[in-house]
Amino acid sequence: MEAELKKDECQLKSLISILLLLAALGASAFSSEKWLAERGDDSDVMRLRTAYAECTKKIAEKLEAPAENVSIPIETFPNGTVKSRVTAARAHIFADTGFVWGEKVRVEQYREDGTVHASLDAESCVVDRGSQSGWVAGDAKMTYGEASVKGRGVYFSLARQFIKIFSQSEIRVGHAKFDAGSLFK
Amino acid sequence: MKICICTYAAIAAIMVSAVVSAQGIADLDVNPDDIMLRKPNPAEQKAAAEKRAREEAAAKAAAEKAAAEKKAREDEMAKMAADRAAAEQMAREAAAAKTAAEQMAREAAAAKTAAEQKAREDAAALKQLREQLAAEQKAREQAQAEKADVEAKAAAAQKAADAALKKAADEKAALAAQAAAERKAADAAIEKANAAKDEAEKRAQRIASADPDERPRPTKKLEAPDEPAVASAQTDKQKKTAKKVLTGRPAVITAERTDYDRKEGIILFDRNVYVDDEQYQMHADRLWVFLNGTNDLKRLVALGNVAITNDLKTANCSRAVYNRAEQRIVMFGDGDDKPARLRDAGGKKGDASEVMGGRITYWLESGVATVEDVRVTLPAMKGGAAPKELFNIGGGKTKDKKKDE
Repeated sequence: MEAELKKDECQLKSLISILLLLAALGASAFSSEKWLAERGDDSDVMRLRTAYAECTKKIAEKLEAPAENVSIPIETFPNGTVKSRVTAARAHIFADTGFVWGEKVRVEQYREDGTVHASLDAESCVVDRGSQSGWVAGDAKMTYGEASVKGRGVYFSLARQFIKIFSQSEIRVGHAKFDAGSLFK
Repeated sequence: MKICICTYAAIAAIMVSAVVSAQGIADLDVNPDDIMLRKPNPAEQKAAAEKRAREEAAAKAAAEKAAAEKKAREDEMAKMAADRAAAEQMAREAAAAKTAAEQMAREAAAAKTAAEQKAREDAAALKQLREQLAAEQKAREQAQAEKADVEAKAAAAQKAADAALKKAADEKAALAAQAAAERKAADAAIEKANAAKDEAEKRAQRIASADPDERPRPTKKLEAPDEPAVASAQTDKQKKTAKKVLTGRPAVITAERTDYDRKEGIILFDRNVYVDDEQYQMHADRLWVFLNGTNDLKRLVALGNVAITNDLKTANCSRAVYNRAEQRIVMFGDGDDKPARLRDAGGKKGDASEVMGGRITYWLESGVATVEDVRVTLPAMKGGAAPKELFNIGGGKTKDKKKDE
């Protein structure tokens, strides 16, 4: 009798431990507050916005000569193939700060086989080659697979794979990937 | 013994008398020798008188000299005292002057300190004023920027609303055109069917009236009409279903702000979120979209003033969670004042039903809704008969969990 009670007690303890473990795993799965706290920091955005304004001012003062039809690789795969590239009809490269300011800009991300993985088109933007991030002051359009994203005032970080749209955001998603069609049918 | 005492007494008496005698002579200012031993000599007396006079003169002179010297010393002492007093007075005056100077210096230092303090306070006040002015300027600029932002957002919202209206008008026109085409096709099919029917009747009459042996052999197999009955018998429900032919157009989600974290597979739509899907529309204050590794939808969480509509069904709640794997939507209310609400307008007038509860779980596959803290509004009863689709929300069954319990 006593042995059975002890056995039951052990089983109960094991069950409680498992429940606590599951609860801990559930709690650590996703925290919107933590996510917002980590992504809500706009210091890098402010840095790039300031850089954009400064670059625009310098260009207006004609301190830098524009280059045309520029294509600059930003990141490469370990095998040497280009992972991301920025192309621009007109570009100003600021060697001292590492910023690239461009007009009619296209940022492309490639797969290892060289095919385009995602792209971003913008009228004008500034890209920091150091942090692999950029700021689009005006309209921007991104294409990723079947999904497309539009917005005005866009921050992107290739290193963090993160995009932040500050106004007029619009996303189009196909049912194949974003199967919201089954929702509330 | 008595003799000795007497002797001593006699000697003492003698000595006392001798002393008294000597004192008496001394009082007379006479040399006792002269009185006792010698006789007076005039020359000596004169000499003595002269000597006495000289001595008196000398004594007088000495006295005068001493007096003069004393006076001189006294004068000198007085002068020295006066000098000392004057020096002391001067020293006191100098000390007083020094004290006054020190006092003045202290006052000057205090005045300087006060002036410095005042200058510091003035500088601080000036700085504070400047900061205040800068803050006010910044606030004005920020207000202007916010105003411009709000105006831009309002313009964008207006633009979006115009676009939505235009889109709705286009869709309406397209649906009208489609309905007209369907109606035309149905009319054509009916006409064709009637013609075929007439032809068949005529043929049957010909066959019936003719000689059986001379009946023409059909050269062609009679074809059935193109199912005109189906088209003509289309009910409103079927027409509604026909309208719902899915074109597979992509869903469009608009919001004021969007954060896309590709690494984590999370998209956050913030402020005035509107989802325009082919099968439903949704409004919410905020929408979290969770994607899996292959970019497939895993979970949706809509927060704040959530409203989901499709055709005749409407859902309102404060929070809605869609889990794709489980194929269910869980809608949460916000307290007793704002329960989650699921409403079916019904196909006909009076068929509307509504269910409200603290939590409504809707299973998409089976169409079953589980309601907690339930409040149900039933459609009006017709002739005592039970409504045909009581609890049939979304084609499924509604189950009151509380009742089950």
